[in-house]
Amino acid sequence: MKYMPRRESQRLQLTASALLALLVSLSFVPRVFAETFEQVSALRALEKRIKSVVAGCKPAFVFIKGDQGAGYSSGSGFCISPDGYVLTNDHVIAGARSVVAYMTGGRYFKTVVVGRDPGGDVALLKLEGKGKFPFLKLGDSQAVRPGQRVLALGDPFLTGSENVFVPGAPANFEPAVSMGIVSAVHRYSETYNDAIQVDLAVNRGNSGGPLITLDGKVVGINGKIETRFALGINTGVGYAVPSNQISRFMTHLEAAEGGAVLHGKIEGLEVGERADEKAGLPVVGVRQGSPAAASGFKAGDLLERLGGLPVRTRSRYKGILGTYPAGDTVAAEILRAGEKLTLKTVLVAGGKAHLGVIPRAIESDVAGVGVGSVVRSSPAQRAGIKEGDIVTMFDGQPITSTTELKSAMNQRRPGDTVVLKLSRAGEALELKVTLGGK
Amino acid sequence: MAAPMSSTGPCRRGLSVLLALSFSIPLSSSSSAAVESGTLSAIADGLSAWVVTIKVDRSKDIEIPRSRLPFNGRVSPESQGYFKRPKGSVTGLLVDRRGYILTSNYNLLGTIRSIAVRLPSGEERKATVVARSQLDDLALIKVEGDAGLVEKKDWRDPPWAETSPSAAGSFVFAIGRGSEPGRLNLTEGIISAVGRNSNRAVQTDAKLNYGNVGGPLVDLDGKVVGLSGFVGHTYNQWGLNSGIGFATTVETIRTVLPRLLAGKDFELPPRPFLGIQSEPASSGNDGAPVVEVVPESSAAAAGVKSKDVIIRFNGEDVPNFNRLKFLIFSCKVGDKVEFVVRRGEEKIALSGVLGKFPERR
Repeated sequence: MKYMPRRESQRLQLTASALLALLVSLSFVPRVFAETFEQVSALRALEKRIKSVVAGCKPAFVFIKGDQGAGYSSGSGFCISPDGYVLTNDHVIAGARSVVAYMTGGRYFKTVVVGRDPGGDVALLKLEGKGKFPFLKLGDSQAVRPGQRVLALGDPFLTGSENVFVPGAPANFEPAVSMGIVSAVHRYSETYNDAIQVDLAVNRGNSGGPLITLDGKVVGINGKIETRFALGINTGVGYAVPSNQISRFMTHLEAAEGGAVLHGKIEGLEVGERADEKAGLPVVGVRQGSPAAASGFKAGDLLERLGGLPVRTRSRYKGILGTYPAGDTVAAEILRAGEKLTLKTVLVAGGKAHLGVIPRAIESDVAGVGVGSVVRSSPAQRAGIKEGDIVTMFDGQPITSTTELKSAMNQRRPGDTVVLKLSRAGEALELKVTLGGK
Repeated sequence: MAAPMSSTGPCRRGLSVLLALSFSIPLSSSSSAAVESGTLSAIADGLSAWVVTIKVDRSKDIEIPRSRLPFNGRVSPESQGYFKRPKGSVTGLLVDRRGYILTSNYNLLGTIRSIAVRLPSGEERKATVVARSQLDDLALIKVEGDAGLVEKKDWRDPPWAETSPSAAGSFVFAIGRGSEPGRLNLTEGIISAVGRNSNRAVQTDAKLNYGNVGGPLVDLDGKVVGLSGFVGHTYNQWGLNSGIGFATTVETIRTVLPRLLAGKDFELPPRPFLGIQSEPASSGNDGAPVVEVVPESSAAAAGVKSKDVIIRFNGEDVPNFNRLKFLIFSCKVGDKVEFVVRRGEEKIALSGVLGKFPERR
């Protein structure tokens, strides 16, 4: 108790001196004080800009509803061309039997899935409708800087596409806009290889919606948030797929005929965990006869830049490569014995080849593997393989068991085209299948 | 923010007079630092005289269905507290000199033992619930005592805005008041969307957490554009801001408040009825096709015939039935409406007065 008064007085003294400091600063630099706090007029100018960007972008926004059989998957999307191409997240439409897009105000169109990029969480749809659609332009995500103010359009918690106030009452189909800043760029978070991190409100239903600069350009697709305790609500950490990555996949998506596009990797190259203080990321192994070896990589090389971007960790290495489709050529700048070299390498599809057939024993005189079911929108389904078919030949090799089919698949890479011979209701037929990746 | 955001700054002239007269601790007496005009501090300060703290003592709170909780509410007993409403004060807005305070209805749900209001002066008074509007998540409470809080000549209404923002993107600030007298709380955001709750509310990304809900949402002019609420509507759980908040608009408050002041709950208004049966067309964008006209309805009186297609309603395009329903829901029973139907090749302008939605048998 003896110390209490003293502590009390110390605190008071502190307060008094702080007050004095405040008074002194006020009396000496009143102009600076006033200028620093001209907040309202600054915000008025910003408000004008935000409102005009929102008004300009809103007509190109779409609410996405995917028919999942038992219920709907919901999300956001946006038109990117006057003939109605729409971008959204792959996870919004994955597994959907059909997808409908609602415009601001409630007009709606059926859509066709043009191409999917499950690895990058992007899907390209096309609206089935005539007429010129309002659309947004993709901007340069490489120019995005932390601290830059950005907007998100979306349908968080479906507040725009459903009436959350009075059950059964109609919704007004107005997208919600939230504002914040770019927190960081080039974030690596699982399938989000090179994400833009934002602090604005992103919640369930925002997925697939555009991340927009104050120039009205789309620099990303909002698709993922960090959240804890299974709450699933915004924490101020959101991730967007960058527009430059999307642009690189665009021609592949357009040509995918509803199928999935493949990401690439430098086959046969093994890199270290992280770069030394000064040197680049060490190449610790190059598999003999691999595309990496053919491109000229050697163990001990120090990788400094990949695709023009500095790379100092393995996750960043994977992150940069994750923004390229298989088949693209990427330049690697390396340091070898003090010498700078640029190696060009063609990315090959990573992962295992995927067909999409679930086998089942089928009573038949024909030797082969029975097709129990076909995975929706898989390479098998697109090629026309049907439930009840019997696979008899795989690229000229007879197939009599699932083990043989599996081992034949293991010899192939994603993106390879194979010829399958089938028996369907006693009749033989031949189909070409371009294998997917998994 | 260097300038202290307190109610102790010099108030507008009339206001400080008002407060000095009415409250036991005049606000102007403890003034320590000036609030610079043109700052956000000044916006908060401008609302100070009307923003009050409400403490609600409950014997029992409303139950949130387990199905709406994370993990279906199956968490350790210590963690159960996360799903419960925190203890502590919430915010309200003084709207009438007799001591009427408007707040979010959600703030006053549960079995209430007592309500205490702490006025900006620090004075505390007991209060009781006068009336509620569930539709708008509004509740009106009144501090006890027959005498008014403020003399008639000294009273000024809160700085209501003429209208709420007509489009998304406007800056707004949610203002709350903590339990410590004099401390206002300001969060920044923008209007995320307008026209929510059938044009009765707006959506905002301003941070709304336990405490500032029930307080005013103000614009850059310092005018009240709405009252924040609807916390349980998107996420049925107290405590965390998600960036998805709502506020009942000043226009809605203007229509609801007189009824609440008269002590009457605001019932769900009767649903307006045009009197057509339509169908969700598969094409989706060619108007609302009339399958049947309900006899003796406003549509029948206006001359709508079956096989007509309604293509415009009150000056807005009607792409499909769902949109038409929304436009009708945004009106009231008795409203005069104008619409355009396509009949064969012809476009015909019609008008009528909306009736009442027939009771279900």
